[in-house]
Amino acid sequence: MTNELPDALPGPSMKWVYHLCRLIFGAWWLFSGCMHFFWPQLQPLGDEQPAIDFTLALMASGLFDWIKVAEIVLGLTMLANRLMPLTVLALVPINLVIVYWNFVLDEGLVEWTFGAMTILFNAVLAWPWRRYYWRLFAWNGRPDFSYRPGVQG
Amino acid sequence: MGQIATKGLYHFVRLFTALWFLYAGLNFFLYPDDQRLGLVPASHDFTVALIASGIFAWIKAIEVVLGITLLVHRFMPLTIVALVPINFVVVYYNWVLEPHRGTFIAGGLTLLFTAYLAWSWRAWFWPLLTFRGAPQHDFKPHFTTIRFTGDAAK
Repeated sequence: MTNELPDALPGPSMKWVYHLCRLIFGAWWLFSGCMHFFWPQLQPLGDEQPAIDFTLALMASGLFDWIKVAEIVLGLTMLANRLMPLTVLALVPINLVIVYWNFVLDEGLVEWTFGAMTILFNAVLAWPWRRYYWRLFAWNGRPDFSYRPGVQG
Repeated sequence: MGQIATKGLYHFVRLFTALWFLYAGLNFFLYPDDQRLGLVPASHDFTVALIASGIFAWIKAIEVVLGITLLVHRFMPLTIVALVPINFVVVYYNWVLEPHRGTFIAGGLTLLFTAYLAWSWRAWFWPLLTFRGAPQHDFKPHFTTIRFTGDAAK
């Protein structure tokens, strides 16, 4: 028996699972972002009071508009499959709040399903780009004190 | 500015940010009555809503962790990546929700310090800006094969 890990699962390959998740999640984010600006009456505020209060506070602060702009940009980059390492990284903090909203603030079967799907989609999208992220976990590195940009490929 | 001066500036910025984050994080748990809620309705309502949702406690816990990693100078690339979304909200709070001279300065310092820390670790971040990358659709970990050159690799 070999210790080698398989290159792919039997059945639909990871490549197609990745592209399916990317397109669904990209369209979901693009719709969610555009909805706030074009059809604000459709914006879900939540069913539970803590979720409603939180969403309304975000809207009142104006931060919600910026989050929605970010959702549109990230939706487009996901659909175009471009700038993916940065896109997946930018998804994480927004998704942390979405998951918190779905699991803690607005509990229910639909919310838990959306929360779980958010985690799943984020994980499926992050995995193929893991090569770009390992370096971020460096325990002890050396900062660059020069003025040279040191652009890395 | 020579390398000794930039090194000194880097460590000053790192330690200042570390102590700032540690203080802001610990203050919430140890002296919750001292938590600054904001002086105008916009910032006050926003802070109160964050506290009521429970998300504020998580942010403060993260601030403590990031304060410690900044202080001990470990996990720096990951620490800087985690600073960005928190500091984005901090700058927004200072510049938009509660704009006055003191908060303009605090927001400006937050932005400058985050940018300077990120610049010092730029070698770790350039690959993230890849426009068309090469995803790996298998189950092998692919621990990075991207090699870094320049001063950071010496």
